[in-house]
Amino acid sequence: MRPEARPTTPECEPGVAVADHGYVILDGPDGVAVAMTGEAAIETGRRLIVAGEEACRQRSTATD
Amino acid sequence: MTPDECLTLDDAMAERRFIDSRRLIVRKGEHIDTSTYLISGYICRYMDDREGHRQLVALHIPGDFVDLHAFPMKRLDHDVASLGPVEIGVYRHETLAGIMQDRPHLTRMLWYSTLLDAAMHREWIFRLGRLGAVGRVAHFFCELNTRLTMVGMSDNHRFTLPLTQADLAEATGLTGVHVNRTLRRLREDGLMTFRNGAVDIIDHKRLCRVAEFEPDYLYGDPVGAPIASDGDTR
Repeated sequence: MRPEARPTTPECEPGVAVADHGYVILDGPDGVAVAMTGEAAIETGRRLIVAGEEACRQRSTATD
Repeated sequence: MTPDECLTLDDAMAERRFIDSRRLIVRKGEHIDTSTYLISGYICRYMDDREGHRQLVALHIPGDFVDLHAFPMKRLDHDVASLGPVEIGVYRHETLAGIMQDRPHLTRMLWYSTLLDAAMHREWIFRLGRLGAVGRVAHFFCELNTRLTMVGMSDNHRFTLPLTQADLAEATGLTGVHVNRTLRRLREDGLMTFRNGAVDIIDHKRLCRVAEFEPDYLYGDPVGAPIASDGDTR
């Protein structure tokens, strides 16, 4: 019988972002490893905030 | 491999060829009737995406048959190129066919070589799919160190490697700037350094731990070695 693997679930830990030589390096969570320009990082950050707030609203609505 | 089998392989080599650094050796898709044995230097296998970004899918060290799988397939699904100046041995497929007919144990050894390739591919998939930047780079160096130690090209801590940070990025699915930062972190954490083509592994145990590296898949132990000859006494 196939041994059960630990299921891959959405991360609860935030990634680590640093500026390095004019780029933003995002390490984690999990296997995420991305380098972006500052502009792309800022826009990604905005989109993450919007999506994160929406996801929190969805969860609080689902648990009401 | 027995000395006799080594001699058989030496005799079967059609020609030795020196190739400059960064040259295409086998082009994806072209019909081929030879296979390449790496005598000295480093060779990579790679695939480019539609925008020309490159992913290294294998790195070969001296003693490797680079494209033995082309013997039954007659073409490759990736390109093969030199990473520095290399010396290769060229084997005609018709000669390999003769070996496979007459030398069953040697044939199993060649099969074993392609199985090792497959084992490394599985590990590379794991590396890219599950590890973060530090783990990926650390794993790359752990694997290479183990393989080079097996062929006497590393003392298990130090070896030369004619790769750039861009090459390393292509092997680990990272950008050059990310590799640069990751190497700095590995250096500052006292794990290893990679400078001017020289690798120095400072803390092998900790490097293996951050890489989640277990060398079993390289079958370097006697238990994992191919089974002995059974009746092929030539």
